[in-house]
Amino acid sequence: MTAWVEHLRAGGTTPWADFRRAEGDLATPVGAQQLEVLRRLNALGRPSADLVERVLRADLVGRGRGDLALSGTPEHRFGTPAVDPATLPPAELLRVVTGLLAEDVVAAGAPAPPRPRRPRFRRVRYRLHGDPWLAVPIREELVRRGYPTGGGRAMTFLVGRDLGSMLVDAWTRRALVDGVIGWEGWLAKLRRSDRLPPRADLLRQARWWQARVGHHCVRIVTDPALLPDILRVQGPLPQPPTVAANAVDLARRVAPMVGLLAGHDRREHLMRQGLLPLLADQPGEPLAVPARFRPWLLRQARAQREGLLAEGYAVHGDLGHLDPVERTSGGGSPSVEAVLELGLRMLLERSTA
Amino acid sequence: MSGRVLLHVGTPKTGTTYLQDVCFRNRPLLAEHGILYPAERFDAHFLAALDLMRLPWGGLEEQAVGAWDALAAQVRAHDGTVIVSHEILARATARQAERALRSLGHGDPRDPAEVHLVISARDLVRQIPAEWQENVKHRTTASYAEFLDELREPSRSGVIASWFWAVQELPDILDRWRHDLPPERIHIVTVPPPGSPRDLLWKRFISAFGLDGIDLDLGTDRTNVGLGIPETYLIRRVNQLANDAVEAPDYRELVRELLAHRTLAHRTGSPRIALPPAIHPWVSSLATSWIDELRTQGYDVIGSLAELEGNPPSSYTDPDEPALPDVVEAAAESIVALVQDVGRRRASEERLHREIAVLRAELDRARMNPVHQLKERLYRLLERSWMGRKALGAYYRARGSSSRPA
Repeated sequence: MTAWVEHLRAGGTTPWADFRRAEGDLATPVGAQQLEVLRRLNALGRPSADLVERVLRADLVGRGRGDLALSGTPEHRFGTPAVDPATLPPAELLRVVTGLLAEDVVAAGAPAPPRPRRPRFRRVRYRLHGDPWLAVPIREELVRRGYPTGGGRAMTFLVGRDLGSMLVDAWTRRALVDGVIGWEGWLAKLRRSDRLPPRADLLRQARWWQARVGHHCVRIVTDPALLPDILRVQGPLPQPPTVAANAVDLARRVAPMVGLLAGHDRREHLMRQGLLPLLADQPGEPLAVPARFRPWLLRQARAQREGLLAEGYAVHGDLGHLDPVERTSGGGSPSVEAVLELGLRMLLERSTA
Repeated sequence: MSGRVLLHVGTPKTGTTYLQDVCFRNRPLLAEHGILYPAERFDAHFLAALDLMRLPWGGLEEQAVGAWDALAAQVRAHDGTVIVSHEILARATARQAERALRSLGHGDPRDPAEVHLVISARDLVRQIPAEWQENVKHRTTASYAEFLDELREPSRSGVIASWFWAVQELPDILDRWRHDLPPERIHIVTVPPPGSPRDLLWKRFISAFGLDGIDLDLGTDRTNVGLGIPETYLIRRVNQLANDAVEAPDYRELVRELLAHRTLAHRTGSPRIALPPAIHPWVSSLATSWIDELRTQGYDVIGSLAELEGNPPSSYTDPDEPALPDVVEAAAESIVALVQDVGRRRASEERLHREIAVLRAELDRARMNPVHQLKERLYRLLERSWMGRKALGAYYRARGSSSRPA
């Protein structure tokens, strides 16, 4: 082990270039990515001895360069050129951080879902779809309380809210459950193909259900707060957490590794029940659709509203609630630097918890 | 175990798919000769490699949980020769490689395995165009010129360059993989130059993997096929238009398999993609330094290191500026192939609709049956009360089935 590794093990924060000038360190068996992550952890707090060793042994997950040598060490004739670790882009360091966080998520597990109670005899027969970020937790809670979905002559309710929030919801759910590209790239792709994602497209969902259950059995719900009255259930229904933009992006980067470590069947449960509660506690601005996408968003919202009106679906609430809301404060896109810092802080929190 | 493990770690585009297919289809025959190719499915070693290297791969990685450990356990349990082969293993880091070697039994003080590392290699003169084409078949929109620029970028930080050099730079791959293996246990199989007998590479594989004297079934349709310049240009244009609109499974089945592999690859008369003459001196100097290094290390070579030098192409056509009539011709053939495919699917859909109609008619007839109607009425009646549901539950238990009517 080299002196710089020992320096970092002991909590040091001196950048490699400064340390090398002072110590004349020559070679290291650990990659520059892992060492820079450790240095940044030391700068943010006091990682446990266990976390230090995990970082030093950590794999680089996903695509990208292999373990990089430190600049100034004896030159290898072959392989990727050595680097000054302080110059590594955040995305390269996130390859270390997300792998470790995924290990933590899988190791911690998630509470098993509570057993649903026996189905109530008197209940509204329903199906609940639409914006899955809203619909899935409500549906699960209803089932838990004894209101299973489906049944003869069930009414299909498609729940939504303003289109900007539904896009945020669709991307957030995909980030946690399915895998998706970055937020603004995803929006740009939708704009290029001039379509809404299926999960935010109530008109498309309404047509799909109409073909299966009939037009009279499809209803649009423009505000999830209306659902307890519609379904005649007592007590409030769960509302999904608002997660900071950087936290959602971190989840997006961790999710494939959780899938790789735990498999498809456990991934959604671990992400939603294990990681999401931790991310929901993280401070930061929520996601919002950037202003440059607003004209496209308004056009899509108008087309959706006009389509729902023209096709005559029954509506609970006001279709105007599906129009994008002009944000007066807050909201933005993830920043990769902030995502890295959040990842490092979460590693520190978990190592001292 | 106390046997031999032949671990083939690449490189891509060197006949690896053919080798893997022959091994997979001949598993029983190989077993008769004491050779294990431990794979339940064709891509088993690919999944194991994803698991070892923690490499997400468009969702396939979720099928790879524990795949490397499972593979290693099979290897260690076998008393004889085992073949493990996948070309993306070339990308493993030194630590992943060490973990892999240990898990296969290398250096086990109680029962050490004799691990041999095999790497098949082809000259960069052919590898560079082949890798660009492979990138295009995996949705890349980068032109050939952009691809070449990225390869020459010193930091290798781009997605294309980091992958290319990780799986192609032979001295570095062997540096990462050799660990403490003696050089005589590291075998380099070189791909013969163009114009060599067709079966020469296979003979070299036979020698490297000790398959002499086994009457293997060599028939395969899993060889990676090359595209010409207009065909590659067409797929790249499709990528530019389809990347936002076509989902991954549809792209895999319809663009890569149907168009590229099953349609455009048959157009063998098109000009081939080659290395630009201006790049050749750079490639040649790289090859020379690689050959010197590999020779110095004293590895076992099956073939000749000189073959890694490669020959400068005799002619060159810029793949970014193809003859447009050729592209139109390729596009027309593609449309015909897609129309034929749609026709097959329509026929299949019509057949399924007919089957559904028959089944619905049978269902309706069954529902008209008075006994069935009585049963249905009784079930609805029982479902309405707590006592009735209890009685139904008791009936299901007595019947010995937990199934419930829909």
